[in-house]
Amino acid sequence: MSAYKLDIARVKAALEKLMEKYTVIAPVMNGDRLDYAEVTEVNDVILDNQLPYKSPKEMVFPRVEKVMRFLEGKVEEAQDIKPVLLVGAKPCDVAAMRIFDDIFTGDKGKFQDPFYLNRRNSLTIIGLGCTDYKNGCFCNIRGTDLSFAPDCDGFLNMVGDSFIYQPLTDKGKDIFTGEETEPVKRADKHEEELVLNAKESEVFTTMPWEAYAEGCIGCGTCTYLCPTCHCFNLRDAEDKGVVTRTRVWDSCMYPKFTLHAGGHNPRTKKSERFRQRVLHKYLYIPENYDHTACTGCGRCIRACPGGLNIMNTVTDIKKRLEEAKK
Amino acid sequence: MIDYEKQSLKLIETAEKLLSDNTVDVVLGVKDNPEVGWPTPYFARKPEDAKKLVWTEDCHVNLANYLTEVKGKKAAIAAKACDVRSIINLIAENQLSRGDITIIGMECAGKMQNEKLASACDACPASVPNLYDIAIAADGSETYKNLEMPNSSENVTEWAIHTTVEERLDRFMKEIDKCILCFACRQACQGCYCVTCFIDRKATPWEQVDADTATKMAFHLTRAMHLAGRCTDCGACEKVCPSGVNLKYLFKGLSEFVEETYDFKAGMDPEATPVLDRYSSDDKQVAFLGGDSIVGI
Repeated sequence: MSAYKLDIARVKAALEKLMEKYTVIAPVMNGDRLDYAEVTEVNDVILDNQLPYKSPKEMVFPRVEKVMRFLEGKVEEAQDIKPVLLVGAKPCDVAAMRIFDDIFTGDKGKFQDPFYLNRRNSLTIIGLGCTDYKNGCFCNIRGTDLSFAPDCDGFLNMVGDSFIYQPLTDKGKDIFTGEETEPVKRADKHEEELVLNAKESEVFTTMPWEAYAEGCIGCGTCTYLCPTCHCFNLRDAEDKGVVTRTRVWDSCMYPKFTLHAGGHNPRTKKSERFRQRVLHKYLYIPENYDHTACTGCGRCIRACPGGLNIMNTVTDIKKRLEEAKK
Repeated sequence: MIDYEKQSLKLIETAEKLLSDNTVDVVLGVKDNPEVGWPTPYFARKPEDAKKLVWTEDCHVNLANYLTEVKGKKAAIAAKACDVRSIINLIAENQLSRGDITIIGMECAGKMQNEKLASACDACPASVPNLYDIAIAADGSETYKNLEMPNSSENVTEWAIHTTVEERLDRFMKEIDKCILCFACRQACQGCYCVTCFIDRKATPWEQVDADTATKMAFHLTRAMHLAGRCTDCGACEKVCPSGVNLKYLFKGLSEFVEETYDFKAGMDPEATPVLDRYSSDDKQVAFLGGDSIVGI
């Protein structure tokens, strides 16, 4: 498919029109920070190098989602939703969507999560390339290109004052048009440099997990902001004879995360919980899929009140593994 | 006004000395963190670790909570006036033992967060901690300067008198509307050390099922009540909130009430009996019964 060149006025005019058909989600200011949120006024949309504070995972995996209701013998399932257009998703966030796709259609599509797929299929994603790294970004060593991620429906790149739009799928074909131009040259695929090629037994008890996690206060902000954290809990609540089943985000940073019904908790210490978070992303997911579950967006690093740093932690583990092999 | 470089140097020197002569096992302080944008907690355990410590305009983290994690060890802590109030509250409530702690009292005239005066700094009564073992003054010396404080916070009691129920409810609802029930405020709070928080207990009606308004109200109002006479006005809850919820006024209002009614302020005297531990047969029960009834009558 050919690419189009268009200026910001044209992008906004197109968005104005698209708002009739879609719920448009884009980076807009929310108080004093940038968030992916529903666009009500097209001039609020900010398409630049900034990374929104929260990831856009709520579009496919809401923090709280009513999945069904049981009432008088009837079961009500999730409803159809209006198509959603996510514009301005950063490459790290686009890459995260592929990880979500793999997980919610687990075991190569054998387990299909209907609630996820319902939202995912009605979502059109238009990516937006970054022009520079922000403090804490490490997508370059996580195999995500700064300026491009292929797993979306179309991609915008800032070139000088204007944008070059490259449609990637049929869904993205008619989102933006403009004067035809050459597609932006893409770098070759980055290597995933920051990976742990290790067995669990090599790192589970041998690494200084307590030192890595000592600043942790167990607030779970890292998992809430992470574009790939996807653990959830299902809860049933009864109100006047109607039982509502709700899916809510859970966090491995919470002490109660693995609390068993009998009272036993295999992860009572914060070091054990942080170890779970690091190894889930860098060891357990790669065992089942062909990628890790960290895109290098750096949100967990920037937002951590305790100063925990997953990039430094994994780098340190790598270094210790290499030293041990010598 | 404050020479952070001299304070940092003095802190490093002090920490090195404490660690090398084995007075303490660990020094709690902060180190630079360019990704976060302000210094984050650091545990110096060896004399050579000490040089990583810093003291800056924006090191607003309250480190008092971490003391409970190194319980049983000898620990030194670089503490501002607000942190010391928290430490005092934890000592008064038997969570910490005074003998284990060496307080390095850092003189402070208010910290910055995101280029604004950090939460609660506008209500801080003094630049000097009210309990310390080693003093590091504004100029790095050992003699405190007793700096002038901003003291520009609102008087919540006054505000409450001059507003209607609807206005007060409106302010509260606007704030909890932003809340996503992540509980970061609770995690950062010195007073929230319950092994299992009421909101985390299984099979209670107020368990977090949904981030609905009722759950948010139950959480924030109960937490406020649990902290009456215990909040030390350090602002840690607002500093860590990822959603910018400003509910500290509730706690401040309760502190004002407790001070006026029971002549008690949390975090002032480690020997004082906490207000919720006291019993008096002529207590007028102002908080619960409006002051008309006397217990036992």
